[in-house]
Amino acid sequence: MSDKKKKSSVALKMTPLILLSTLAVALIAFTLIINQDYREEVQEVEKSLEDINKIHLPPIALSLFYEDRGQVLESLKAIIKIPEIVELRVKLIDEDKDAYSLVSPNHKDMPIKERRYLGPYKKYDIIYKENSGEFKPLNMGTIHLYASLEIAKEKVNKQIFNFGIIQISQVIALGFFFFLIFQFFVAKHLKNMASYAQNLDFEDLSGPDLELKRNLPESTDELQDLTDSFNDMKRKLEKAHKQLRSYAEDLIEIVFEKTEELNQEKNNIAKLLHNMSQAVFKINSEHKIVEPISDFTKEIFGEDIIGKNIYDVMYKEIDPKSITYSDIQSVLNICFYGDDIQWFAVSHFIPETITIIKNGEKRIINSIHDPIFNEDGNLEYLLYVVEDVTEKVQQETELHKKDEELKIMKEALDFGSKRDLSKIMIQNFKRINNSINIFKNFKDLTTDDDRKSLLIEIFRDLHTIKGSSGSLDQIRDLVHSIEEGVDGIIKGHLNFSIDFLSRLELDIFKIHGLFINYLKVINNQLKINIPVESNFLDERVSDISVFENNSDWIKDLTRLENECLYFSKLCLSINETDTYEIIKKILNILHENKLDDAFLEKPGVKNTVEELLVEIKSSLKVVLQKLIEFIESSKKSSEENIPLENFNIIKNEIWNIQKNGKLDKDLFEKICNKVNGESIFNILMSFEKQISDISIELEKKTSFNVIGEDFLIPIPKAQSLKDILVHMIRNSIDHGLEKAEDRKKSGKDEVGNLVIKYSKLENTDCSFKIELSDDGFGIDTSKIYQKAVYSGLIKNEELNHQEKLNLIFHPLLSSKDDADELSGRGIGMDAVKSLIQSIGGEIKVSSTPLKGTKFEIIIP
Amino acid sequence: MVKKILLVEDNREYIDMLKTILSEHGYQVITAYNGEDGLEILKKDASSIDIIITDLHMPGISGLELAKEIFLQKITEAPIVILTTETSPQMKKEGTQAGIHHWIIKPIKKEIFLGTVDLIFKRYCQN
Repeated sequence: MSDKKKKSSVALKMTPLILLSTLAVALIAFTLIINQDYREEVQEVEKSLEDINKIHLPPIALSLFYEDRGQVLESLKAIIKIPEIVELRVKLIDEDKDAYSLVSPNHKDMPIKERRYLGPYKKYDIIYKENSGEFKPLNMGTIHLYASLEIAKEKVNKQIFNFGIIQISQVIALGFFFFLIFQFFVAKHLKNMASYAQNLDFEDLSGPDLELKRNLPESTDELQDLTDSFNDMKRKLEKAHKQLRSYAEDLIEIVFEKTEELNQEKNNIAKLLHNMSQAVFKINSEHKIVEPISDFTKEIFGEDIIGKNIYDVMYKEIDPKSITYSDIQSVLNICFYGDDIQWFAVSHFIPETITIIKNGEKRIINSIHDPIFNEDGNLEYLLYVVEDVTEKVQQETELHKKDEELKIMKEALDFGSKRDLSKIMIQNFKRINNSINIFKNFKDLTTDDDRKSLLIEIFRDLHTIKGSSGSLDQIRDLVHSIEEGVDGIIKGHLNFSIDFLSRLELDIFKIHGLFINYLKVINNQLKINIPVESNFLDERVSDISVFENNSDWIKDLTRLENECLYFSKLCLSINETDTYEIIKKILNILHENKLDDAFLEKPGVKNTVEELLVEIKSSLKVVLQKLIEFIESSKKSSEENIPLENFNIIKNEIWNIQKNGKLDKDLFEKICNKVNGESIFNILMSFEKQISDISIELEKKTSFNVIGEDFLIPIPKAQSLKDILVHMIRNSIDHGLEKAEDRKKSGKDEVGNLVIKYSKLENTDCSFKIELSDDGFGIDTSKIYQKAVYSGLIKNEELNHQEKLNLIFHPLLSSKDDADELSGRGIGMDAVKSLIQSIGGEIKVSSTPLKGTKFEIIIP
Repeated sequence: MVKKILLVEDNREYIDMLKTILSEHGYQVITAYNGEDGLEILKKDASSIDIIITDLHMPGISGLELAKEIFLQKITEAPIVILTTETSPQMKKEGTQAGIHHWIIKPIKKEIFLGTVDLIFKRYCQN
């Protein structure tokens, strides 16, 4: 049994050590004592010798004086009888030889050398002293005394022997007792602990703790500490076990969740790949598309493209006579079987954005090209990765437009007062119209001076516009760039030329177009109504009817050119840049083929130009009509009274967007909607007066607080909110709050508190939550319940607290008449609820008797 | 290490522009206004010229023919680069047979042009 072995081995280790140490201590003590004893014995012997000198020698001296030899011998014999003395010699004075020599009978056989060294040796003078003192002491001789320490030694030996016996018996007894004590006090408990630990079930540690069975409870010695730590450990282990178990269970759940998530991800990715709007294919040295290709190519091109020529697939809409087309051909002819340097040298000639026609509609395509080299480093295939970005481009263009509009809005808001902005815009727009008119007269002028004076007028207009533009940066910059040229002519630096004039005319139309843009934004988005007056546009109105009737123009190049010029100017003047670009293209084609009268006869050309012009005319007609409407409405409508804070809020939002650069379509609309929103804070605060009036009327004291961060809500919503709150606030004061004295009686502050907390709902534009709470005496649910039973609404059903509270919304319980009977709500809570629900909101009530009531309203 | 380029191009303005670009970039440029002169220069001192850049369409012998001559007469193994506005497959075939290394399409883009010349130099001239 290992524990027994351990126990005994500890004891076995300890016992000899303990015993040895006791032994050592005893030994040291004993040695000291023995030493002391021995020394005493020696002293005894020496004393004895001294005694002989003192006692025995004087009679011997006397005997010697009286020469009584017999007496001397007797005395000496007496001395030799003393056990310590082993030999004595007497030498008389004047004699050489020993007079007497006696040896103790026990030592007669001992050799002299040995005998005389058994102990101390003393030599004494035998002195005869006369009693009377008349005579000097007389030295009769010397006596040599040889003593022995045998007896002392024997004594000491005996003591040592005794000591040994005692020690041995002590050792045995001690060992035995130590053993028992250790067994009883320690080993027993250790064995107990060991067997407890052995029998511990690590699966289930909830069993009883280890206990030491001791007679004296509450002993807090090391064993108890060990027991306590052991139990502590056991408990910790149990706890850890439990945690591990629950963790393992959680883990299974977590793994399950994660697997679900991952599967979802995978599905999303699969969807993504499936919806990936990129097509991948490659072409070979014959410029044909070869297998394999990605599925999506069919989506992008609307047909199967394998085996087709790349020109037919990708570059069909590029004019074969154009430089672009020739460049593509050159690249594709050169790069195959060339090295990577060759690709580097020419790859940039392949256009990255092209247009294709898919199913009759125009699509914008982005394409990336990657060379595929064979082992020898020669280009074997060209990889195309193609993406349809039509929608993206459209969105970007739209977003760009919105961005531009935002810029204008900010500039307008920064201008200063609405009145000033209005005034300046009207004045400067007039000036531009003036300049346009001036231009009409230019053709009639003949002299340089006349022309110059008109130019000066134009310059004056431009200069004033620039100076008064303030924060309208774009206007200012555009005018500035034009103004310089005019200034140059006036001062004579630049030469007057027809070219310059036509450019100037176009520029002035551009400014007009820019103004139209500004006016549209200011009127439509900022709702600042600036009346727009434009003679120029008024005249164009009458042109609309002309558009439809004319078809002869197509036969005459010059006339065609003139029409195009006219339209291009018109486009500029109303900021129709896209159409302007198309017209420019037509003009370019016309310029390039100017000498070729028969050009228009070419079938393709005629159709293309015709189609384009029809398109242009119809879109311009629409644009013009819209513009006229805009102008008409600007003259009619009156200004909406938009509070200044709204503008400030919007300005900040625009500034934020411009700083962070994150604009999207919805954001833009949101901002525009805010222009005529109302500040919710203001709405809530406006109830202050009502609250104070009602409080006086009902003899209550009310304090009112509004808590929340302000934001704008659209006007219709604001109206609904006001309607809702009017009822609820009255209710709260009337039925929620107690009168001042009642409040004091129940230990509350005299003044009742009405608090409205409001907050915007996250991730929404203007959905919000309102909390109306009072610290009155709450809703008495028992009375409501009674009333409900009484009026037949419920039949003694069990309702919980919340369900009883919700009864207040029921029409039957909301009758006005009973309102004062109940100490709860009454007036039209059902009406309030339907009002809220009619705008898609919800209302919740919670109440603590005697403490207060809280209503939560959510308005989407 | 001196990097020498032989430029063969008949348009004086154009060749001046190319010469400036290349010299500013660290190349020593020798010019010839037609193919025959170019050939002469090469015959005299072929070993010192690292790269030959020649226009395709020139009065006299074309760039293509120049390349052919260089190839046939084994005048030099320096890489030949052709500047051209357009290339047909036929032309490309002939050019490859004549030992033309690389084609550069006009109008050139300065950075790409210089990059190409550098790459050619690094790969084919640093031996």
